[in-house]
Amino acid sequence: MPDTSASLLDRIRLHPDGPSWKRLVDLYTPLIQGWLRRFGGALQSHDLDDLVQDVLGQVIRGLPTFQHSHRAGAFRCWLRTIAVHRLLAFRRAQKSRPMTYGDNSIDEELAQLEDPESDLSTLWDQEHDQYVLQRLRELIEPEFNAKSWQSFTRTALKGERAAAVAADLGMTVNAVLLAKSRVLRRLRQESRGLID
Amino acid sequence: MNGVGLSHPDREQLAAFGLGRLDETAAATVQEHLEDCTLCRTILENLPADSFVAKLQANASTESVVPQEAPTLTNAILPLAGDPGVPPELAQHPRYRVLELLGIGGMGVVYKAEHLLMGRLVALKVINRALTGDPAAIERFRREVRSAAQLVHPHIVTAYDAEQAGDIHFLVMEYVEGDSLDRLVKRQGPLPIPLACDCVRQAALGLQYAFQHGMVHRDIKPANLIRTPEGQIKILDFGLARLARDSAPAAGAPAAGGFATPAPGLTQAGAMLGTPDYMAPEQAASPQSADIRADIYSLGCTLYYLVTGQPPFPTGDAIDKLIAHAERTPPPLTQFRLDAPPELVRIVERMLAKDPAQRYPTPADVVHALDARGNAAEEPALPQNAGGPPRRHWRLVASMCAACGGLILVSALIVLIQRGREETLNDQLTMLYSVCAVMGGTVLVCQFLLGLLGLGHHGDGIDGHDLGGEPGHAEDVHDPNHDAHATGFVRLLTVRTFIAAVAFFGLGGRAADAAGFQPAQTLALALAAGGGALLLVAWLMRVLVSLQSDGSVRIRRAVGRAGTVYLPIPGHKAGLGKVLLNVQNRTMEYQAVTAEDTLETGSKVVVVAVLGTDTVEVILAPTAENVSHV
Repeated sequence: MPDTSASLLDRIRLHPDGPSWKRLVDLYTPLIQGWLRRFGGALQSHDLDDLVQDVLGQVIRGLPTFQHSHRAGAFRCWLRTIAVHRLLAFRRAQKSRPMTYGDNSIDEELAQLEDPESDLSTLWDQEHDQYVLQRLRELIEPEFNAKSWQSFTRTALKGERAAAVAADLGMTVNAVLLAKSRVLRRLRQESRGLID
Repeated sequence: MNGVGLSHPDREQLAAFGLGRLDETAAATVQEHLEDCTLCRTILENLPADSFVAKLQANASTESVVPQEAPTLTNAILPLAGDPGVPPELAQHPRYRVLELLGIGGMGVVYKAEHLLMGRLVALKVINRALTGDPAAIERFRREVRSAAQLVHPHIVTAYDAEQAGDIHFLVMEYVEGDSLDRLVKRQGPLPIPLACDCVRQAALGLQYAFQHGMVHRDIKPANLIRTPEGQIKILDFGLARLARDSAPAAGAPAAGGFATPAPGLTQAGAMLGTPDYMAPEQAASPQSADIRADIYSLGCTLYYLVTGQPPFPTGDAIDKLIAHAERTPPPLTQFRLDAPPELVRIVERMLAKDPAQRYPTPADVVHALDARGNAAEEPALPQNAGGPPRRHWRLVASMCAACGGLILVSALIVLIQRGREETLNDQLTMLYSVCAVMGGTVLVCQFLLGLLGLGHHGDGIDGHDLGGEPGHAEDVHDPNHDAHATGFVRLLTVRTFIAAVAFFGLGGRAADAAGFQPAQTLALALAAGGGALLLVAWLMRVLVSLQSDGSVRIRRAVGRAGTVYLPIPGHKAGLGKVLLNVQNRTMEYQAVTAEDTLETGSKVVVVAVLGTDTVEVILAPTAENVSHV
């Protein structure tokens, strides 16, 4: 039973080698892979894996000193910066093949991604949030019983009235409200620091 | 537990509870209260969600995303995620053999390939799947490509075919070896003005041809202009700009697995392929209505970029730039290039007119305007050179010929008139020598002193940076370009050279006289001394540039006016680079750090000695000249 007061990031900080780190890796690897494929141009799959490892390595090294500045999205921004810089370093290190037909959209995009105010960064942030929340939902679902989960989905996500859901599922209205609150609390707690 | 007796949690607490923001103990308290308090329950139900919940709701409608393919909005813009090897449909294509990856652009991946039967090299541009999901778009694309394929012109990359292999659509194009202009400028900095004008002129010729065939490009920018090693410009991607814009994800990304549409403003901005640095205002407002004058605007922005190294409105996000194109005036060229001639400034201004009717009506007019400007000056006009080099040369040559002729005439007259009266002749010649020596010497010394003190405007005299002989190659200047050589030589005949010659004429005469030579011999010796001095100083004043092993360029001497030096650049396969040395009068501007095997613009330049320089610029640009050996 996880320590319910600490967020995923907090737990990793306390136990860097523990299962919480693995959860973060599982959570973020597909996302980072997707980003690198899209913004990195033609990467060979071993290069891609190396880069993902690079990024995650930097995260684990930097996490103890990562000061969450309490600005919204500090972690996400930090992660984006790491990914962009690793990618830039990788591209620099490659002896450049003559890319005569590429119209440098990659370089432009990377430049935009370095700027937290740019449109591309905003899109990136949105993707990050939605993906992470979705995955966390999946990861947390087993902690609740099916009915509670369903009532949460219907009330919090789909916006149905508590009374109707309660009647449908054979729960009290109170129970429905409680389920919603508890799941939300769990989600918030788990994602604290990752999503703001 | 009587709900009525317990105090109700205030609204904020309730809200926090409902959203899961209370900690465990506080939540437990509220939870207990809610067991019995219908009032609070009702309130709770009606409290609004916060941003966190909103985020959860945003993708509540989608299915659980398979981890291998993270949700994407930008999938439609960039190539689909997936192993970036050659798609099997292409790898096994009956007609083409894929040779290598050439590049990745906003619309898809480009491969170099060989047409098996014809043995000809082609470029295959694989169009990103997300852009071709819509059959109507495919048909539009096909039509566009068909008309683009009618364009056969030396300044347009020819499109041969649009094919489909499996569900991959690709374009077969002429394979062009070379660099795009944006890579060129990124690597080497702003181009010399004649080169920039030439590039734009060639592009305008291509555009004119397309215009005559009823086509508009709509995406003219430096990245779409390729420059071959021979210096020929070819326009890329006719017919594709429309495809990209039409299919850009205004509708979300249908092929990419469900992603709720974010705020419309963001979608629009994110959907831009790159940034609208080169987009005409009327084209941004209404893409379909843009005509050839929009291309002229884009070409004007390109010319601006080639000359200054940045587009007219480099800062801000996409929206800012569009507004700037529509409403603001770009910074003047002269802010970035002191040597920008006024005719060029006018041409760029006209190309960048906000109202299309004010611009050049056709690309041919742009060509004519550039030709007219091109005849005015061969070299960049430097700040002091308001008159333009050719006229100046003629004046110099004329004046020096006159002076030399005058000197010879005076000598001859003296000889003729005074024939027979040897002593008087002797005296007069001696006096002539003395006068020449004294005057010439004085002027030279004064210039030297003034130069040392930093007062001489034309930098006459020896600069105090002479470091003496240095190890390493002392490369002579190899100059295959005869014209430039001739110009350079004329430049050597500066006033200083002439004065030095006069001074030596005088000194030679005095010396010969003192050595007891006959007057005629003395005169001959004096003339020889003068002539020798002329050649010697001229030779000393050439630019001797030596390439050091660390890649820096060492200049041993710098010549008067703008010197053009042709140097071999080690490791540069294109051959000779043109090095113009920029040394501002007294302040020699050293620029940044060196590169290893190619000299970049801004390479470290150590000026060893400067003899009478004006402004000499350091620019490195590959030219088509033959390689000379280091």
